[in-house]
Amino acid sequence: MIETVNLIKDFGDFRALAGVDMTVPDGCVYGLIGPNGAGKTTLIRHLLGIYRQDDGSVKLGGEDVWENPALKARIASIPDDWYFFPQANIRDMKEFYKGIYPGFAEERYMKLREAFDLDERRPLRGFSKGMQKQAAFWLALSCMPDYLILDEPVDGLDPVMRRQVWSLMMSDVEERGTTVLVSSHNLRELEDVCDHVGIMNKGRIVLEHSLSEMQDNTVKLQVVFEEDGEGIVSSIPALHVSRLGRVYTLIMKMSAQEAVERLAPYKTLMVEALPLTLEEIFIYEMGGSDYGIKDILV
Amino acid sequence: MASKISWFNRTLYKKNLTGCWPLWVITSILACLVPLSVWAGADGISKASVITALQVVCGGNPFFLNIYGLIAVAITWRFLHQPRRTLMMHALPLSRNCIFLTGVLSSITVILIPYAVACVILIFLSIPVGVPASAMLQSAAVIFGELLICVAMGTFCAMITGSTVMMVVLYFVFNYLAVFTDSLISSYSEGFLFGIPGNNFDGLEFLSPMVYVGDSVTLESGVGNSTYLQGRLTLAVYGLLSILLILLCWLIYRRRSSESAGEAISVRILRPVFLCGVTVYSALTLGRIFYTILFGFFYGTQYYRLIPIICCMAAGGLIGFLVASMLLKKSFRVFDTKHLAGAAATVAGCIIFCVLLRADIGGQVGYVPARDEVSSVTVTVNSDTFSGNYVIRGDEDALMEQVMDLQRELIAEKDELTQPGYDSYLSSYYDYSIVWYKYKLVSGETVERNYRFVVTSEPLRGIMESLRTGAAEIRRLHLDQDEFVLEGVWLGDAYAQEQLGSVQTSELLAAIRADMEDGAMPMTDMDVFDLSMEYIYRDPDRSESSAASLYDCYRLAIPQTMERTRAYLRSIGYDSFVLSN
Repeated sequence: MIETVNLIKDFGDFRALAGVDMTVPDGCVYGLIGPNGAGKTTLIRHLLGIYRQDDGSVKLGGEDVWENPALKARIASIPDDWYFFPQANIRDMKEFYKGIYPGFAEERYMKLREAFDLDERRPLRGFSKGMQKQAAFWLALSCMPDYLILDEPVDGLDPVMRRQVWSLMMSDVEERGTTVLVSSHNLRELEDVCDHVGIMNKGRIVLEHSLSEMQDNTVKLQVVFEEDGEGIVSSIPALHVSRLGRVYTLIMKMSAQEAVERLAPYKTLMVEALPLTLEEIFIYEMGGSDYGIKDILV
Repeated sequence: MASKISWFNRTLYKKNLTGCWPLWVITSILACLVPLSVWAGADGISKASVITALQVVCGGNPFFLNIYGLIAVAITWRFLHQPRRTLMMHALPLSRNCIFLTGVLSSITVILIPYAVACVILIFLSIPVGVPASAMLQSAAVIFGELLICVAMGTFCAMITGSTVMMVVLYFVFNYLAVFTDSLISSYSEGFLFGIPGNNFDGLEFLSPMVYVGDSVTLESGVGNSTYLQGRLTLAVYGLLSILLILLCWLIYRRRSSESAGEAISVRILRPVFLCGVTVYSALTLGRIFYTILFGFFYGTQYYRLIPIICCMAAGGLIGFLVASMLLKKSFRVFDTKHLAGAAATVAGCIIFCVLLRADIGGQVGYVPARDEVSSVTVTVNSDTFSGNYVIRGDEDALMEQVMDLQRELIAEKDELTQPGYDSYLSSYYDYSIVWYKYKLVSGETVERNYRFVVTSEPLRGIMESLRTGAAEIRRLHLDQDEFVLEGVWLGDAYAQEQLGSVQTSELLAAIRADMEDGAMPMTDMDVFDLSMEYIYRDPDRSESSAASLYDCYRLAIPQTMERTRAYLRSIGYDSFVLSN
C-alpha cells in the first residue's frame, strides 16, 4: 500500500502540498489526476524518496521511503522529465540499472526487447521523445518493481505503443501484484486502466475513490419538467446545470437512485440517468472547486 | 550486481570514473612527460635529477590541483547542479551516505590516476640509478595532503551551491579570500589613516589553504641526495582539517534538498552570508576601482577624500547587493520594495565604515611611542629631495629624538600633506619623500608607520635635513651594524666605475669615518659623486626564509675638508674629484 498522511511541502513561501492524504491499495492501478499546478509531480517525487516532506508521512508497504534504499529498490518510476547519461545508449543504462537495482532481471530485459523495437547501441540522445519514453519503460519494467510510479507515461507514444505499454503494465499488475500509480491528463485512457482515482487540487486530494464508486456517486440526469424548471433546479444541489430548450442536464453528487428520489416531488415529464466519464467527473468536480470552464467572450 | 556494502557502490564508482575518462587519460599522458623529460634531459636520469623533478612537481602541485583537481571534483558532483540529474540520482536505491562516499572516492581516484601513472614510470626509469624512496614518499605526502585539501574544499563548494559555475567561483574565492582581504584592508587603512602602512595586516594567509600550504610546504634538498619536507606540521594540520571538512560536507549532503539544484546557494542559512559577503566585498573592491577611475586624477589615490569614497563604495556595494540578490532569486527583478531595506543598509554601512575609519577611533594616526617604550628604531628614507635612499637603525637617545621629532612634525602637518596635489598624479617623482618607521618596542611588539609626502614646511625640511647630519649621517656607513652587508664600493661616477677590493674598502671606510667624526661631511648628490657604496639590509626581525628587501645606496662626493679621505683616494690612484673645494 502507498500511503501519505497529512503530507506538507513548502518551497519557500509557496505551499505546494497542503496536507495530502492518499491511500493506494496494493495491486491496484491508481490514477492521480488534477489541474496544472495541483501538486501531482511534487507528490510523486515524495513517493520516490527524492523530496523530503516538511510534515506528514510517506509510506510504501508500511515503510518510510525517505533514505530507504531497500524500499526504493522495489520502486521504478518514469517521470515526466526523465534523464539519461550523456552519450549513453540503452545497453549502457541497462548495465547501470543492473548494478544499482538488486531485482533487475536480465531475462525480462531480453524478453522486452521484442516489445520495444529500439537499437540498443544508439545513443539515447539521438532518439525521439517517444522512443526515449519507450526506453524508459523498457528499463523500468526490467527492474521488476513492486511499485510503478508514472508521470504522464504514454505522452509522446504512438497509439500502438500506448496499448503495448498498458498491456505490459496490466500483466504485471495481474501476475505480480504490482501497484501502479499513474498521473496523467489523458483521462479517457486512464478510465480504461485505473480502478482507483484520486483528484488533486491546490495541494490536496479532494476526492479519492475507486472508479466504480466515483461513477456510482456522481450522476448525470437529463430532466424535462412539466412547468418552468428554473426555480426547481436552483434548489437542487448540483455540481453543474445546463439547459437546452426544456431539457435540463444536471450533474449531481449522489447515486442515480438518490437523484431520482430527490426529483420525485417535482412534476417531470422525463428523467434519464446517463453514465459519466472520468473526464466529466473531473471537470465537474473541479468546477465545484472553483476550477470550472469559464465562459469568456474574446 | 549491486554492491552489498551499503556505503559504497561499485557501479556508481565505475560510472563516475568512466564518465570522465577523456579527462584523466589526457592528463595521464601529459603527466608521463614529467618522468620522460627527466630521462631525456641533458643530465639524464640520476637521483639528483629525480629529486629535482620531484621538487618541481611538489612546487607546482597546488596550481595543478586548482585546475585538474577542481575539474575532477566538479564532474563528480555536477549531478547536484542539474535538476533532472539530481532527481534521477536521488530516486535510485542508494543511500545518501553511499552516494557521498562513492563520490568522494571517485574524485580522489580520478585525481590520483595521472600521479600514479607518472610515479610508476619514474620508478621504472630510476631503478638503474637507485630509486630515491625517501624523496618519493615525501613527495607523495605533499601530493596527497594537498589533494585532500583540494577535494575537501571543492566538495564543500559543490555542496553549498546548486550551480557548477558558482562552485568554481566559490572555490577560488575561499582559496584566495584571505589574501584578497588582507590586500583590501591594507589599501583602505593606507587610504584613510595617514601613516598606517598596508603591511600591518599580514597573517590572514592561513585562511586560504591552498595558497598557504603551497607556500609553506616544500621539498627541500639536504646533504647529498637527501631531502626533507619543510612544513610537515602545516601539511598534517591541514590534512586533518580537510578530513573534518569532508565530514562536514557529508552532513550537509545528508540534509541537502533535491530541489536546491540550480540555486546559487543551496544551503538556506548561508544565503544571507552570501548576500552580505558579496555586498561587502563589492563595496570594498569596486569602491576602490571607481574612486581611482573617477577621482584619482583630481584627488590622487594615496589618501581618500571622504565624500567621494563613500559614494564610490556605496555604488560598488549596491551593485554587489543587487547582483547577489539576482543570483539568489534567479531573476533580474530585484528592484522592488522588498530589497529596498537591504539597499539602504548597504549605503548606510558604507557611510558608517568610512566615517569610523576616518575618525581614527583607535588613535593610530597620532600615535608616537614614548622613548622608554622603544628598544630600537629603523627608519628607511626614499627621497630624491634629500639625496637618495638610505636606512638608519639604532637605539641612541639622540637618534630617537631626531626620528620621533620628524614623525611628530609629519603628523602635525597631516592635513596639508594629505591634500590633493601631493600625490603621484600631480606631482613629479622627484618631489617625493617616503619615510618608513619601524619601532621595536620593549614589549617585543613592533610599530610601523609609512609616510609619503612632499616637504611643505621649514620645520619639516629642517628635520629631514637633520637626519643627514652628525651621528645620523655617520650611521650611513653602517659600521658595526651586522644587519647591513656591504655589497661593494665603487670609485667613479655612474658612467665609469671601478670596484675596490676588500682591503682598500676597509681602509677607505676608516678614513671617511675619521673625517666625518671630525665634522667634515661628504656631499650626497645622486648625479655627481666620487664613490658609491651599496648595502643590503637584512631585517633581524624577519625570518631567515624571507628575503632581505631593503637596499641602501650611499653616493658620496668628497669635499676638500675630508682630507684623510682625499689623501687615501689619491694614494690608490683616484684624483678626479667632482668637487673642487
